Amino acid sequence: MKADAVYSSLLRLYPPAFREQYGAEMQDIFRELSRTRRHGCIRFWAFILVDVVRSAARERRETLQPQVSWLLMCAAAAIVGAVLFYGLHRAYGAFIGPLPIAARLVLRGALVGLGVGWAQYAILGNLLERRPLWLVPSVAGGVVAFPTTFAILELAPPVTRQLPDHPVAYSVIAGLIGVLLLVATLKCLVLFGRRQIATTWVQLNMITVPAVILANIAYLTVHAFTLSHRASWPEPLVLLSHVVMNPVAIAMIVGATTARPLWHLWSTRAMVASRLHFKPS
Amino acid sequence: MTPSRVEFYILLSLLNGPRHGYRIMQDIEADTTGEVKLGPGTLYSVLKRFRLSGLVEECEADSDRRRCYRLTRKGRGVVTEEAQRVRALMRLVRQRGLLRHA
Repeated sequence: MKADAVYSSLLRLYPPAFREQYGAEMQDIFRELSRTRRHGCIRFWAFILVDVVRSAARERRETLQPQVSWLLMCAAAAIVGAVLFYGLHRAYGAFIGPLPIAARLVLRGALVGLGVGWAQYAILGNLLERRPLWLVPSVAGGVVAFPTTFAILELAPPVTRQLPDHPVAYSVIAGLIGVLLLVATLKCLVLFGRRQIATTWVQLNMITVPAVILANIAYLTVHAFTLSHRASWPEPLVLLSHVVMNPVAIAMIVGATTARPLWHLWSTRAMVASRLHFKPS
Repeated sequence: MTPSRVEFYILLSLLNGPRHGYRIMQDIEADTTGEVKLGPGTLYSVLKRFRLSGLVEECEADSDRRRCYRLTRKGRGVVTEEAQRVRALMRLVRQRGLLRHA
């Protein structure tokens, strides 16, 4: 009875989903093993402990893997987007002249959309049939989102024109961008005939807007830090802070706050796929 | 997919028909004369992966209400493929003069 309770505690080392599915059976087998064991107590428990630690570590690692890859994907997407934006911006400035603000917003929006779409696609690719098309609504969403949000602020009453200098205003802009990207994603799902998962997608993405707002606050903090220190920094380090640090701050927070709902979607992909009658890869 | 040694033994056990977890463990112990001994954690971790990749499916619980597992067509294909690989390997081993009488 005591051994049973110890094994039951050891089962807590496994992820909850695994425990829920196999815990009772494992406990039954443990009872059977301890009843029929031919070796001494120490040898038996050493065998059980090694088994639990090794398999629980593996299960935990598998649970974390998609979340970690999501985080890395978000960071990679943000860096690639920022590198592209700064590259194009500088090239245009060097050969043609300063890039008009509207074009800058459209370009930035397109690249953010591309980055978000790419990160989503990297995780959900196996749920999609027409894969390359996945990026189109995201890019379109970004292109619409950036100029629209800035235009709203420009057209707003004079009092609120001061707001863009305020972190909260920036965060609201980011929130609006998040909403527009969410709409773009939703539209994409509906366009692809995935109405059933569109609802789930909305529920999972309810977290997107607060995540983007949080991310933007993080971005502003990092930005303020770099601004106050970078006068003494060499040029490559300043560029690095632009291209890597800020996007990574955004990406990591968006990634961290959206990792769990995405993991849920990823872990139930087989169920989703079977309901929608297509095969996950 | 190339199964590991333990995974191959589990698939071989299921080749005999549907089995519940404890029976699979007993089979493996008997098949390897006690050399390979699986713990419940390892067994269910492998069964979970097999189920997700479609090699194994759950079947109705037996009289003791224990869940059973059986090979799918895909699972059978993987065992056959691995057995062919082992056979080719054994042929090579014999050609090189090892285990001539095995």
